[in-house]
Amino acid sequence: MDALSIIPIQFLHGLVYGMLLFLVASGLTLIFGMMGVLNFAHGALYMLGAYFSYSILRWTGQFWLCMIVAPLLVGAIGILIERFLLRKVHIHGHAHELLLTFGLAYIIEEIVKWVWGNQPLHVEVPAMLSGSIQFLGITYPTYRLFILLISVAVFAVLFIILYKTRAGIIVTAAVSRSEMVNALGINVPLVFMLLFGVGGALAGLAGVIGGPYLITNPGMAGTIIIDLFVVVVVGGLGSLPGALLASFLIGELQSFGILFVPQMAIALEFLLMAVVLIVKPEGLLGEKA
Amino acid sequence: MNRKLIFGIIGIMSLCFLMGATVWAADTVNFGVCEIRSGAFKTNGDRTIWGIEAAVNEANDQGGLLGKQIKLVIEDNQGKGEIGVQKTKKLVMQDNCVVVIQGSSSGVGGAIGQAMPRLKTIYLDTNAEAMGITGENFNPYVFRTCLNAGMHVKALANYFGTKTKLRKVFLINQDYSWGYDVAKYYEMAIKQFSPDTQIVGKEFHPVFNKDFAPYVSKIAASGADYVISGNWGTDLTQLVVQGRKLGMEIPIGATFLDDDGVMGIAREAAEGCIQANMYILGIDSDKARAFEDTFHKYSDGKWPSFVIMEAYIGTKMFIEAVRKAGSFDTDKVIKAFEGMTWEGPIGPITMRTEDHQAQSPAVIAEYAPSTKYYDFPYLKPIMTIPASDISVSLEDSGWKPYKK
Repeated sequence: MDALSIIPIQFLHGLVYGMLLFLVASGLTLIFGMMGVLNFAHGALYMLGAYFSYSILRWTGQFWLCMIVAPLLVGAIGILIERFLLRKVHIHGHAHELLLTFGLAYIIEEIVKWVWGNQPLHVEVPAMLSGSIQFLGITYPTYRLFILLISVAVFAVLFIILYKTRAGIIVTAAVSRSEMVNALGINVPLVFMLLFGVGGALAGLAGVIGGPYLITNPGMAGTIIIDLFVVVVVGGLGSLPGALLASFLIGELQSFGILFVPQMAIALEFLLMAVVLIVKPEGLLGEKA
Repeated sequence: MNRKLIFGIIGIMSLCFLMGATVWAADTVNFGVCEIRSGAFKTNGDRTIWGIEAAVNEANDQGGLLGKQIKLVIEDNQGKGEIGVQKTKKLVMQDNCVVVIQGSSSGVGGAIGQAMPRLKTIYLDTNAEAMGITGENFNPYVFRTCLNAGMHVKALANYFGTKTKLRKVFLINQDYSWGYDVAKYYEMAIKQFSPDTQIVGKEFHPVFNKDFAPYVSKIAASGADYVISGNWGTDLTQLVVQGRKLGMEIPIGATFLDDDGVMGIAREAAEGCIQANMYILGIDSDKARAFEDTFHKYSDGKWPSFVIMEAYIGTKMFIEAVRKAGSFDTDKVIKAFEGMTWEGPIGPITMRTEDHQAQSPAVIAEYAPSTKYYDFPYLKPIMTIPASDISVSLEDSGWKPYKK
């Protein structure tokens, strides 16, 4: 393999990793981006998805079942968090939400260690996903292509619901003009609770998909949470296409950064964030406040 | 309540406590353990403590040490140097520990080591491998019983340079002092064993890196015929698993693949990998079998692998040094420990007098689809290397004599 032929492969690596990042960040785009809740526990919910998936897989042996049940469970937990904890501190503003969810992240991490132990866990994905396939003269893991597929599907479904359906219009309106929507007879707190549930379910799904790839371990929440906030801020608060674009850029920056300027690769993501915040503070595809 | 009465009660209580402590001290001696007990690295702390506990159980079962039963006092260093130093002071000053043992972090180990001259107590480093601890930051209170980074990679360089025809190496390591030690000393070691070896790539990635694919394609593009990595934990698992899935079939020479936590996930992906350490499970000799079985007996059915094995050996060596000294007095134990030879599972381990760095033989192991130790694929030894062949000189270790 020569230096030139590595470029398309590196692009593919960056694309896949970026899309995995999008998958994990998509729920946060709803919760932080649209509802404005600084949910630091999002990474922990993602981790719960991975651990639930591990247990469901052990009991049933059905990976596909994990992809349905684990997100539902995590979504339910998200709903409980919104209804009984966040709603109570919401009126006190961002600082309280941040502290609450920050604490929750720690509590969930400790619970995970207590229930599943400190060891990283081995998650066996179905045989049809665990191999590698050959194309364009390279060997590529099927699972990475599967990640790509799921992320694109999640984006498409969310995009259609949010921007093309009546439910989506209610959600966006409830977020930006909540008093008005409330006056029209729509139960805004219920909309918020359900939105939080969907955000949690997306984190759970990301955990099911990401766990086998990034290894299901108690540290997985902490290592990804900052990246998630970078994605949402760079993309523009509440903008789903923005989050997709930001994830893609971060994935590619990382991949090509490692190829050309390895010592700088880790910093490029934050450099991008700094540049975006200076040049376009509302984010790449965010709307001006 | 009457003030005199309160003082009286407090007085009696403290007297009882003091007497209790003295009576107790008569037949036990405290060993301090300052390990990581919380956070993401807790698994390594757990394993280090399993090793220490087995050695202590064994000694206590055989009549104790100088007529006393050993008691472990365990503190959590939280993976931070300054907290490690704080807890070490507590262990020495409050609990009267005759030694402080730590191994699962080089950063914490370095900090504890440098605090010891003031506390005049021995720091036993059973498994922290950074060169500085017995190198440029050497002081007479620090003893290291495991390999250091230089010796560890020298064992790998010895294998690849003398037993294989592979001559193009890619070094991939974590971006902190340990990773740099591995790369630097591997470069030094190949000059000795196979000067024709070419370094075709050298990368340092962040600790807890998530996606290794971009590194793997760089390794593939470099034309390397083997890889050397000092990675541990998920960084090693990810490199091995993602590398194999991306079609990278060249061997990876590793320093921490003997971690059952890593092999439990890497499994078949580790086929073709090579691991070096001072001991690896499965050596076919009576002495090695006795070593493993004794550990098994005193550890509630565990096996001495990875840092468990290092902590077990280190604690046993310290106990031996105290026996030799015939006293718990720090200066006497230091004198006895210096130059002491202990019969290890694959041969004698000698404590080098000048820098207190154990001189140990090493084992090279390869992938094994099944072993009696774990219910997933593990490793099997393929050769042993004498201590003299992996020794790193005082000069190359960056050793400096201690100045008060």
